[in-house]
Amino acid sequence: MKPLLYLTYRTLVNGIVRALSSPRRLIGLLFFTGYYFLIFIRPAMMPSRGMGMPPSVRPGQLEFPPMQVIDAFAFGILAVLSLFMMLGVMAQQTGFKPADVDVLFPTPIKPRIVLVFRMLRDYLFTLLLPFVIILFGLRPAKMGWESIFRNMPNSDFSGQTFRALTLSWILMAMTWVSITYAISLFINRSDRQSTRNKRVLGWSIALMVISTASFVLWKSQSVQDMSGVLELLREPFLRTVFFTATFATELTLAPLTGNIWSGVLGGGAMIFLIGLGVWVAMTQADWMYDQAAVRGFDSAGVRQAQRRGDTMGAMAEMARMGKIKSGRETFIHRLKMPGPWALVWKEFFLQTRGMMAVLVMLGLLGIAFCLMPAVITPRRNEMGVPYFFVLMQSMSLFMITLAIAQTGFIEVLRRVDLQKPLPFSPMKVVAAEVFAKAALGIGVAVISSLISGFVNPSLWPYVVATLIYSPALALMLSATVFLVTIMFPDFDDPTQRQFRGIMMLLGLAILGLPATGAFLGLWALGLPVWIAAVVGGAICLAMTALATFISAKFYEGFNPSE
Amino acid sequence: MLEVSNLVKEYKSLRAVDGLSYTIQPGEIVGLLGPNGAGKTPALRCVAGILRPTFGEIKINGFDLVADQSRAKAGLAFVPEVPSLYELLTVNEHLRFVAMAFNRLDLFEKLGDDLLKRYNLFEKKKALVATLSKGMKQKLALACALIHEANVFLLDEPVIGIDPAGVAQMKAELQRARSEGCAILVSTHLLDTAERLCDRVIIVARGRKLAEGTLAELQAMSGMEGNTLEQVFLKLTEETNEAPVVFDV
Repeated sequence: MKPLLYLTYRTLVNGIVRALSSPRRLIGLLFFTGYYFLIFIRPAMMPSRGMGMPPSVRPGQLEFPPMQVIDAFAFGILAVLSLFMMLGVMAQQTGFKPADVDVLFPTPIKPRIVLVFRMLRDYLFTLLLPFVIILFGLRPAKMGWESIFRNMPNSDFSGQTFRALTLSWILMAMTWVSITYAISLFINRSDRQSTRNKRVLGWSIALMVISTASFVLWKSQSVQDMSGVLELLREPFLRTVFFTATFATELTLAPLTGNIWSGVLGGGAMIFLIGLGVWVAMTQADWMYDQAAVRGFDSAGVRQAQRRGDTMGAMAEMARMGKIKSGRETFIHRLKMPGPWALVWKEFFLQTRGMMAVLVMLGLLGIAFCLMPAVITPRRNEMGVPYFFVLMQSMSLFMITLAIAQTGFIEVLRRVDLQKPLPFSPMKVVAAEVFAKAALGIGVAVISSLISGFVNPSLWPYVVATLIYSPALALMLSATVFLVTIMFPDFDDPTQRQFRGIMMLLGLAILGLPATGAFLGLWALGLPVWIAAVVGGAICLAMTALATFISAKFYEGFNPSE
Repeated sequence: MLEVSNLVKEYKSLRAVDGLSYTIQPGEIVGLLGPNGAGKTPALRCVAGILRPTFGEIKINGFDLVADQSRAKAGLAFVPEVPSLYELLTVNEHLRFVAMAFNRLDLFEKLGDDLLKRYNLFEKKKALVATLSKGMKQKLALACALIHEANVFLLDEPVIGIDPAGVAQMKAELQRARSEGCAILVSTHLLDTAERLCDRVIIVARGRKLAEGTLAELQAMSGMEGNTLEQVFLKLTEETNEAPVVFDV
């Protein structure tokens, strides 16, 4: 156990130190800590506004509900929680890294010790969840909780029930951790027998889910009011299917009902299940390494690529595993695009093969966005419609170009060893890539603009303006994304992604403001909108040229191994 | 000493290793050769205790790898082809962790710095493994294999990715280990390396052993006296080359 503790401790400490080791990582970390603090933690720590409420809705005025309601409510919540945990039993639980396979597995540390360590770690994570909830939500939750018990004869019921509820949750979660480990290790072995076991278990779970859903549907037809719902939640069938929730409910309600033995029975049953799960898992421990090496390691490539944000790498891994088939030959295959245009061809290829579904969705969404003002106008002849039209066009362009460019340029830097030896100057390579990443956005903008013009002819002057301005804007956005990506190219480091995100916003603001300001300013001054578009577009193109030029300089000296 | 008897490894319906048997005596370097997909890596991973054999028996220093895993593995060192290491440990911590896992912290204290110096890793002692180059990671994996004084070595393509000086050092290290009585199994595609380094070779294809012996024995077996190991290998494996079984674990 000592080496495993050492490994966990050092990995954790080094991970924290690494996150704080450079200003870039630190800024990213601070940004996200601040973000989460403002969104989640601060509201929970703010002084409660409950005292300011009208007396009728103050928590203190709540009446203690009947025991049947409490029982049904507790069972319902615990059943839903146990359902989520139940659905995970088929998944592989090893969670080993490739380093575990190569370094840990050949050591004499017994697999059972490794298994116990991992289970304890998972138990700890399970225990952390209520701790986090308590930390951030204790103040509001405590007030509401205590108010429910205000009318009870014994004021200590509140504390006792809270402790029983916490214990129930912990035991139920630990029960499912044990069951999940036992089942996962049993059915995911590499022998033929376990394939059959997996199939039998899968069908059993499916049958149980279908029969439970059918039962609930059938019974709910006769439910007329709240008492019917309570009756349904007390059905022996449901209490059997969600057996862990039943045990946990008995334990939770023991302080209220005074039936200590039923609480002891509920808690004891869960402890028995934990023990049973651990015992079964231990009997399968010798298969654990095998499973991790054969299956876990196989999909580790996909997980690793996803963690790095390497979309194409993840897809390549999936293709290697046979989960993605190569597509049919399309018109793109037949396009003849020589010289640097081959890079644009390559990009069309990658985009259509790799993210077709996303592209279709983005394209349709973009067109729908842009058509909104055109469809609205005939019904409401509002003055703001042209502004709305231009805003929607810009938003759609922004959304599509950024989605493609952010993934695409990281991909360019990842495969730089393939592209650098090509017989084109860095400037041509960067320009081709910038154009390729902007092409879809431009296409969507042109199509949606034209459709909008036909749907609502009053928009034609603005359609012309967007046809002039949108391509230049898309190129500027694409060039900015490349510039920021190549300036902060540490793409394998998750902390750098956050930092790059911040820099991306900054870069877009710096390079985008002059053109946007000029376009909107001239338009607001009363000049024809197409003139504003020409000026704005020209500034966009100038910014694109500047960003492309700087990017090409960076690209020339870019070494991925540095 | 390493004894492997009738080793079989199946993945569902695929038989990756099919009845492989061999023995490696102390003070012997044996090459495990075979075309791509021949089953060398699964065979090695079974012996390293990573994969569980479907059938067969593996004994390391007389201890059964399945029944007495800890004692069997205590004398074993495994160096994978492309080692995945713990990226968030420093070089020194990595070495220390391996020594701890083998319950040989005393050797870490005694040999740790020397090993790092020998593999030009001493300067990087406090660097995170994540910052090392591919070749340096390979060297660290070798240092980890040597830290607990194993007497059975399993090496999967040990010289790929290492610079020429490192290759020479690796060969010298293996020869030193052989002279100290270690049993060494080397899986490789580099037939000239195998010819010069190994006392015997085992040629496998489609999970089965095709031939085993010294170069002279293999030449006689294939009727190719005076030919190189490469020519003998190509002759012996030519029939199996047409439809290779592909798997990757």
